[in-house]
Amino acid sequence: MTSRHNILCVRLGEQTSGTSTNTATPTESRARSLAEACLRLSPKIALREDPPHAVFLDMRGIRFQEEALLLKIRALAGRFGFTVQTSFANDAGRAHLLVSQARQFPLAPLEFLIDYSSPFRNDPIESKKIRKMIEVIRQLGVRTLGQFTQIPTQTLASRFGEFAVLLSQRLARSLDFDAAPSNARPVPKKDEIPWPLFRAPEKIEEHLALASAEDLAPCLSLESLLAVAREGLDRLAARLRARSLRVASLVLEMEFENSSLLDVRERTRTFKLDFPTPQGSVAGIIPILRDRLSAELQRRTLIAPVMNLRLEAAETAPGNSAQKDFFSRHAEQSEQWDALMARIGSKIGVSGAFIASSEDRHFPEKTWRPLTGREATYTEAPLLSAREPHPMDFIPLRERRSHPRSSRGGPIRPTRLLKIPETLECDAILTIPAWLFQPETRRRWKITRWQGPERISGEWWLSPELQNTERDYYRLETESGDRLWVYLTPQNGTNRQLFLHGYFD
Amino acid sequence: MFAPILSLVESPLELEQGPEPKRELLQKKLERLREISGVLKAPLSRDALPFSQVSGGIPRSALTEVSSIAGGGKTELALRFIAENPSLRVAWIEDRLTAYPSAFPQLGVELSRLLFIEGGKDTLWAAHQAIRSQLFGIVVISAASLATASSIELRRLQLSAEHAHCPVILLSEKSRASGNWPFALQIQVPMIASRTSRVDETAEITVKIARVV
Repeated sequence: MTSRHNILCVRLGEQTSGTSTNTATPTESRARSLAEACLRLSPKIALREDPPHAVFLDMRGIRFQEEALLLKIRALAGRFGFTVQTSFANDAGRAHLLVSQARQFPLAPLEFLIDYSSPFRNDPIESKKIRKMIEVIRQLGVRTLGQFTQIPTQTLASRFGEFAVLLSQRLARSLDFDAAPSNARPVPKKDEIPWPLFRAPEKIEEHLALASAEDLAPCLSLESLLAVAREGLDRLAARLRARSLRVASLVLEMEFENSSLLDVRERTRTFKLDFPTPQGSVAGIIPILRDRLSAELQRRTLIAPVMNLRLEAAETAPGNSAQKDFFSRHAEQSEQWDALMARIGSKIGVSGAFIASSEDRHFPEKTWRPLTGREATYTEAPLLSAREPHPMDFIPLRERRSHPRSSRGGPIRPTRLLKIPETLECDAILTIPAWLFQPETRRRWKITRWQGPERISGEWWLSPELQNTERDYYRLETESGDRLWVYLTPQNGTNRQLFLHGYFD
Repeated sequence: MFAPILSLVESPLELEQGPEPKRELLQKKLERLREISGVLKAPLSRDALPFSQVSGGIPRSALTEVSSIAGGGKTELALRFIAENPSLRVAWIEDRLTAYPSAFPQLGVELSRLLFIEGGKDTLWAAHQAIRSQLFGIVVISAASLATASSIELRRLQLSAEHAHCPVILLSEKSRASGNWPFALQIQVPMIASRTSRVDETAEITVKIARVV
């Protein structure tokens, strides 16, 4: 159901139980981070930075479902260590008032005018003026907000000035809105309380002041450090998601306990983690961070308890902000894929994991190309049912075709290919050799069958250096049962050389 | 005469009846018969992936060893298994990559569903990462270091496979002792000398089942 009241006020309260690491960050800082994370729900956000902290969301023009939105807000606030009280209204002042007050808005006492008039901040000057006004109008017998709206405008203007008229008009419109039909026009923007638009800071960073945490011991080990960092990363990830970004490079700065034994230069230590694939979730970042920190701390242990921690998204990349498809795990698996590629990339190297892509080239070693890093994106596996083996699969090809070609067309290729072809020696290079010898491994094969040649010409049209490079490939069977793929080169030279290039395994 | 013996070979459940010593004796003889026949006829378990070359399929959540000498046909056997399960994503992990991707489509394996990992000295670590990610329906590992891997390391792999519900296939040149406990299935691919195929043929590969749990 979509509400016709579309200003949401979220009043923030501290969580009394649960994640204790949140107490390691000042409330103001967390409230700002939460406001930033709320940008994924609405582009128009306001933050009340004075206590009690509150976040206002203008949902006008945005399709939303009240219950779903409130669930999201609660979940998001929980990540930042807040409990929330929420209320919808047709203007910010009323929404702010309704968070903590009874729903009988017209019957609310006059003191609530202070909260109503400045929902976004504590304004001492305006509060003072309103208090004076309340004292006067109370002598006239006015007790509630409803009665206040009944006072003639001329009286208010002559006695209290412009601000009282504006306040009365806003209140009256707000009350009229309840009685108006559902298609009634909303309050004109010029009559609204000015909305201090929240602007997200340029730098995306999270500070964790462990020294000021009430029930958190300073970190002395990798696990405790990761437990604390997880909370900070969780907030960082929520903020990044609001901007549709992913972190490509993360900076982790640790500040140690001040001690006379420590050199000034050693009091802070900074790590920079570059992710081969940008990460959007804590689940993806933590394993990489664990590996990296584990390796670093083995090299250089924690010399003193960590008292402050700073996490910064130093580099970001555009992220996918598409809505999750409930019936597909693609987004989830894509995230896992990126995390896996990043973990492998940081431990083994970016070229350590790849998807092979076929290339239209002649030389066997160039007929495929590894797609690494961002090229190796996750694609949905074809949802095919398991193929029943076809009877033809088990009929020797000799009976199917006379020419040695694979079932998919093209000459048969070995399942194993050596990166660098190995030199072979043989008894007769100009005639069919009977045996082969590999000098490096001192291995000797007796050949029982030769198949070929299959001539592969040099790709002279790509590079002049490849002129006159031809290879004659043969498939061999040896007495010991090996099936080899060898080539002879050059075609017309006197120094013909035999190379082992692969084997059929 | 043959029919009852074969039915006993194929359906070991019938051994539930009869006196204890006779059952044991019969059990041993049947084990021997299975060894001689080299083929285990068992219905496809619900927890197995179908594979025409192995009756009963390849068990999920378990380690399977495929062994043969270099050039014996173990890679081809693994590729045939992958081709018969086209809906599954595959991680192909080697310490030093020698697999030739261009040959894979010739055996019916789409390259787009394979992730190749060249792990070097971290091959086992990479294998664990791939299995735990739960992204892959099949994980194939071919590494020289696995030949000397301890039972504990294999057990770790087995546990990972169990948790991820993923069949892990280890390609090795030398089969470990039959009955190596972390393996649910050990398949030996005989040498080409004992096969009828030629180098230019995609022939039937007869496999020998060394152990099934």
